[in-house]
Parts: sequence; structure tokens; C-alpha cells
Amino acid sequence: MPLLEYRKGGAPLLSAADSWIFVADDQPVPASGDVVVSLARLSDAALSGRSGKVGVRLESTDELDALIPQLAKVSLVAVNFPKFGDGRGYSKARLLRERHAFAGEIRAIGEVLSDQLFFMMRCGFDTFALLDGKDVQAALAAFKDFSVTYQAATDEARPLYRRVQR
Amino acid sequence: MYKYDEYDRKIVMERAEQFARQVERRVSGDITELQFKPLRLQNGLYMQLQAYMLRVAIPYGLLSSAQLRMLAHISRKYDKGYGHFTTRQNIQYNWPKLPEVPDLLRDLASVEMHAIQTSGNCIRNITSDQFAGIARDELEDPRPIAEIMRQWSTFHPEFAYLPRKFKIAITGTPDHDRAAVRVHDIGVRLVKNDKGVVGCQILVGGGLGRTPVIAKTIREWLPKEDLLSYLESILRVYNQYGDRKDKFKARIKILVNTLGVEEFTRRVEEEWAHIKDGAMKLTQAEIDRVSKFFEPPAYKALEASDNLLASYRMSKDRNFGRWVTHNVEQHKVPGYSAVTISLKVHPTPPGDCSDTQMDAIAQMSDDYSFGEVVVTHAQNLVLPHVETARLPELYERLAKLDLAAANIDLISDIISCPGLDYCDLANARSIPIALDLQERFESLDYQHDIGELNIKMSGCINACGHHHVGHIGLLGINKRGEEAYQVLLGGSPSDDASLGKIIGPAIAPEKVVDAVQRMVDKYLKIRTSEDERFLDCYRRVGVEPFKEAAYATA
Amino acid sequence: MSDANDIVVLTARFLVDGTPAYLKADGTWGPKLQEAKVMAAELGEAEAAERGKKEQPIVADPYTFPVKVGSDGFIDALTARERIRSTGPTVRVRRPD
Repeated sequence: MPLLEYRKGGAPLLSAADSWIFVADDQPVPASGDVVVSLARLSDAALSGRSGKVGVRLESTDELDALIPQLAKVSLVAVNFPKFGDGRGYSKARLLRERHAFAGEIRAIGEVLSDQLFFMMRCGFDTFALLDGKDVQAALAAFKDFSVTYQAATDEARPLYRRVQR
Repeated sequence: MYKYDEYDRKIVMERAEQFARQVERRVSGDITELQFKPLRLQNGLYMQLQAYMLRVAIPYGLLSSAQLRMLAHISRKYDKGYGHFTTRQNIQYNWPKLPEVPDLLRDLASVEMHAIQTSGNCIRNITSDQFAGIARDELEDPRPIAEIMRQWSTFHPEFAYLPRKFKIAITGTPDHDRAAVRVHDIGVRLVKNDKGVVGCQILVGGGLGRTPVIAKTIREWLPKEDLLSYLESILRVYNQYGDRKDKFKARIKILVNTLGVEEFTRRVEEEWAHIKDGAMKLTQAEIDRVSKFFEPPAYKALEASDNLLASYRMSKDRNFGRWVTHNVEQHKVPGYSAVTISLKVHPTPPGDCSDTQMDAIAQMSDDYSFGEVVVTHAQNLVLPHVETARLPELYERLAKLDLAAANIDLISDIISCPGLDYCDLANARSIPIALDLQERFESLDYQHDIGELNIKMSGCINACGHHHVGHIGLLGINKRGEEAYQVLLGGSPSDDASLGKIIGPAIAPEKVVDAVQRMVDKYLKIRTSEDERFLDCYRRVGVEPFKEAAYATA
Repeated sequence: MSDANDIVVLTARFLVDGTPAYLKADGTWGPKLQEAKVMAAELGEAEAAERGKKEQPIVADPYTFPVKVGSDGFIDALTARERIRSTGPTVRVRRPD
């Protein structure tokens, strides 16, 4: 699964290495390494006193409010799009960035196609696990599909009418 | 009307190019139909029963003559020489070819038009009132706010994959809603607060379809500058909590019902508290900038023409007289009138318009109406600024083109969805029934006698024909693979909003017209006077007399 | 289950113009219901799934629907929907002006 990256101030690129290990609920948490666990497992004792970073995987049905009290523990939030048509993740990412000032990595996982990348980027995602078999060059280009946007979002705090004289 | 600047132009052009790339990837097989479908829907391209269908956006129904000419050109170049105007003030083409759609979109972009978000689970066309800006009873022109909402909603990145479609309507005439705001997901009414300042009243959760509901007011008054942040809050609550499992429970009206209005409102207000004082606040400069585009055209200083209109109604030319009576609306500027051109002329399907007619109407709008045309919810067209003294010559021109049917709001002014002849979602055909009804009631004397009677027809429960809010509503159903029709009575979309009630078992296609006629004749028999409309009569006497008439055998 | 329900036709939409496509005996897609290959329901469904995967650039969303074949070979689509689909709109498509 190609991992794309488009961080603030940078350019869209294909990420080289990715240290994050996604640990399923029925698997033990490894003693070291960067691990991503489900929201339910975040308070697991096995996560404390170990080396390596902690990330959380948010399902579209998860309540963001349940994560917030534990947000300081995580340096990655992986927001799952079970189907690309399930748009709940867009609100989650925006709220994480804009409301809760989350400074870590927000990753889009699940059914991620190049057609959603521009909007995801606007909502605060900075890494994107593109579906296998999809054209990476086309996906990278898709981040630049639009040079003008009307409304405020995570990437641009001001709506167009506050950015420019029209 | 609004004119694009470089920013607006870039957005529609870049979208056309983005879609061109998506079409290429579909044709090459890089993406499957399943993956392509939401993308083509967000560009207004449906796969229908017979062919693709492209729905072009006409923001709040307003067209320039140049745009209407382009719509005619598109119908010739890419389609079969006609288009269909819809109940949300858009236009549909029934026969486009997928590889040609990118060029079609580029042609549209050249006249500041697009097909963005006219389908899919996103915010759709912002609709309003066909007499916006000119109606005598208007409090304030809603179009600047409509345009501002259009821009806010276009490619809103957070709300591109909502649980379901989302429709917003706005009225600037709080006492006479011609925009049906009470049956939209969000309805905005411009109203005055107790200090006399015009602001926005917000209604949420109205809609037709499987579970018709009248919207609830959740905010009595908002200053205009807070409108966008408030809308954003509503959409954010909906995006997060709307049902994602059951397509038939996914509209916001269901969420409002499930949570209850109080809890729903509480969540909206809670979200809004965080963002209301942020950068989303509308600036007066932006409101002024957009409002400038809707300043009145260069009206001549004319004498009031109410008497002239009255004299036209009594004209020796009865056809002309009737046309003035039914199709001409008084204008707020002295000496002017608004003319509704009926697209309900048998045997043309209701709301259809040929390329020659579109070109002719564009020319007439240049000659008589400052180059403006408005699409109405009833699938007709309005020339909004016609000098009353020139009505006779305009009438002659319209008559030559078969566009002078004097039937606005009469029984033959039927709203009809395309139905099973065209639409993949339909259970039954609607156009043949509408045409048969028009034929049965073709006598203008008869129609005039009946008076105001809105028949609205949908080929399925999705209610694109607004059958729930017709005085007589007809709903096509599937009865063991064959077509049948349910009859509803007593619906109204306006300030006295009410939902029609089904009167009894579904009726076979060949019996519908007779049933309607018997109900109409019953009304003529039992009404208290000519002034008691069908709807009022029904509300007075109830369903029984009409039910009896509908099901009586000949 | 009666005979009528056991036989189906495989249909889809041509990708290019979205018009109805019917699978013919020679394995290609054509515009006419009356030239469609009639087959057993199970076989039809299997073929629909197969072609759905393989023929994306030609057709979209193949599916089957039951038909009845008359003694004269006329294929009856059985529902108003599929009948209208096979014949085109039952109303005039455009004003002749």
C-alpha cells in the first residue's frame, strides 16, 4: 500500500519507510516499535513503559470525544474510511487539528483513492495510505487538482473573502 | 446577476479538467464503475434507464441569455436537441455520451456554468424563489445570500461524502414562500428581528420522499454574518451523526426526528459556539460585493401599470387576456411585469424545452428582460422584467413558438418528473399520464373555471415531482411488475405547508385520468363559490367526497 | 418455480453512452433485447458477475432479469421497467421543430 505524504510547507511525495505497526485487537502489543492500536485498547497497560511511539486507529463509528482525554499519548491518529463514501473521517480530522490542536500525524487509511486526496488534505490529513494498485503519480498530482478554494478549512483558516480582495 | 471573477472561473475550469482525468481512468479501467460512480455523481452525471443523464446546475434558477444560448447549443451538440427543466431549478440532458462530457463541461465553464454537486451525497443546488428581486411582497432579495451559500458549499472538503444528499433553499418573502423552504434539509427565511434588522431564520429537517416531513425552526434569527458558521455547524453534526447504514434513514430529517429537535439543536449550538466568532464570519465587504451583482437593472422610469394590466386581462383577444391573467405577475417596479412562459404544452413532456425554443427565449430575454431568465420549481421559465406596455408584442412572439399557453397554476400546469420513460429509480411512468391529463383538460374554459389546481406527479417515492405537496398528488408505484398510481390530496408547499394524504388503493394507468376528472367535477359541484380553490374545498369537506368520486365506476 | 422464472437475459449499460446492452449468443453485447441470449438463471447470474469484473471498459453493472419467450420467439421482458428499457421512452423524445 503506497503511503503518500503531504505535510504543511512541503510537497506531495511517496513516503519512503513507515515504522508504524498496526496491531489488531487480538494480537499482543510488541515490546518495542511504533504501534497503532484501536481506541478501545489505548488505555491498555501494555502500552505504558515500553519504547516506541503509540498511535490510535479511529473507526468511523468511534466518538472523537472518547479519544480526546488520551490525545497526549498518541503521535499518530489513523482515521479509517471503511468505504470512501463514509465521510465521517473528514470531520474527525478537522476537529482533531482545529479544535483540539493535535500536532501529530493524521493518516487516512481504508478505501483511499486519489479522488479524495485533495479534500482530505484540506481537512488536516498529512499522510494517506493509497489503495493498492492505484496510480501513484496520478494520486500525487491529485493533491493539486484545485488552485483556488472558496471556504475555510484546516489548510486555510480564512475563507476566500478574507484572503483576497475580489 | 453574479459574474465570475478569476477565482470562480478557475474553480469550474479545474473541476472540468479533474473530471476529464477521472473519465479517462474509468474508460481505461484504472477505476471501476463502483469507484467512479460517486465521482460522476458529484459532477451531475447519472446512469439512467435509457442513457446517461447530466444535470446542470442553475444556481437559484437564474440564467443569462448567453447561458441559455449555451444550453441550447449543448442540447444540439451533445444531446437530442432539447433539455428538461427540473423542480430544483436545474436543467437535465437525457442523452450525453461519457467521453464527450468533459468537453460539455468545458463549454459550460465558458459561460460560468457547471454540473458540480448536482448529484451525490453532498450539498446540492441552492434554490430560491422565481420572483426573487422583483416580487412586491418580498422583504429582501435572497439571491446574494444564495450566491454566498453556493460558494461556501462548492467543494466543501468536509462535506463531500455526507450520509445522503443535502438540499438548501432560501426565501426572501417570509409571508409568501415560493421556494418551498419547509420541505428542504435546511430552509432559510429572511426575516426581521424586533429591531427591524433583516437576518436569517433557520429551519432544518424538511423533506419529501419516503418519509415526508415539514422542517422545524431551530434558530429564530441570526445575523447574516453568522449564517455560514451556523450552516457549517449543522452540516458537521449531520456528517458525524447521520445514519450511514440505512439509505432510507440517512437524510437529516431522520436525525432530527431520532435525536429530537431539542437535542439536535443543542448539538448544533454547541458546535457553533466554537466557531461563530472565527474567520467564517461573513464580512460586510463580501455581502456588499455579492449584493452589487444583484442590483436592479436599468429600469425605465414608467408609470404604474396596474390599470393597464387590468385592461389587458379584459382584452377582446380572449387568449391574450387569459395569458395576462394567469401568466403575468405584478412587479415591484412601476410599469413592469414578470412573465411566466409555460413549458406545459401538450404533447411536449412537462418542463421540456427544445433548442429552438431556448434560443428564442434567450433572444426574447435580451429584447424584453435585460437578458435574464429564471427557472421555476414548477418547471417553467420566467422573464422577470418586462415592460407592461410591451406585453402584447411579447405575447405574439411567444404564441408563434407555442410558448403562450395561458395555464400557469391551472390544472394543465402539471409538475411531472421524467418517470419510468427515463429514470432508473422510477416505478411507473409519469409523462404519459401528465400528457393525458393535459389532453382531458385541454379546454381553457374548463381550466379557467376550475381555477388554481396544482397536480404534481412523481414516478416513485423519491418525490422529484413533489407529489406530497400537490393539491392533487400522483405517485407511481410498482404493482407486481406493472405500473399503478396512488392519489394524494391536500398537499401544499407554501406557508400553509401540508402533506397530501393517500386517499385509497392504487389506480391502474388507464383509470387515472377519469378518476382525476371525477374528483375535479365533484369539486366544481360542491365548492361554495368560484373563489373557493380546490385545495380550500378539500380542506373544508375532507377526503370522503373526493374519494368516493375517484373510485366511482363510470 | 414456474418455467418463466427460470430463464433470464443478461443486461448492462454500454459505458460510452449508457444505453441498454444485452448479451448475445456470440458473447458480444448488443442494443436489442430481441437478440439477447436467453439462459438459465444461475448461469446468467454467474456470467453477470464474471463480466462485471472483466468488462469494465465496455459495460457497467451487468445484471440478469427474468423473461418469457413466446412461441414466435418473442422475448417478453415481464416488467414495465425492462419493457420500457428495451423499447426506449414511450413518449416523443423531442419536438419536431
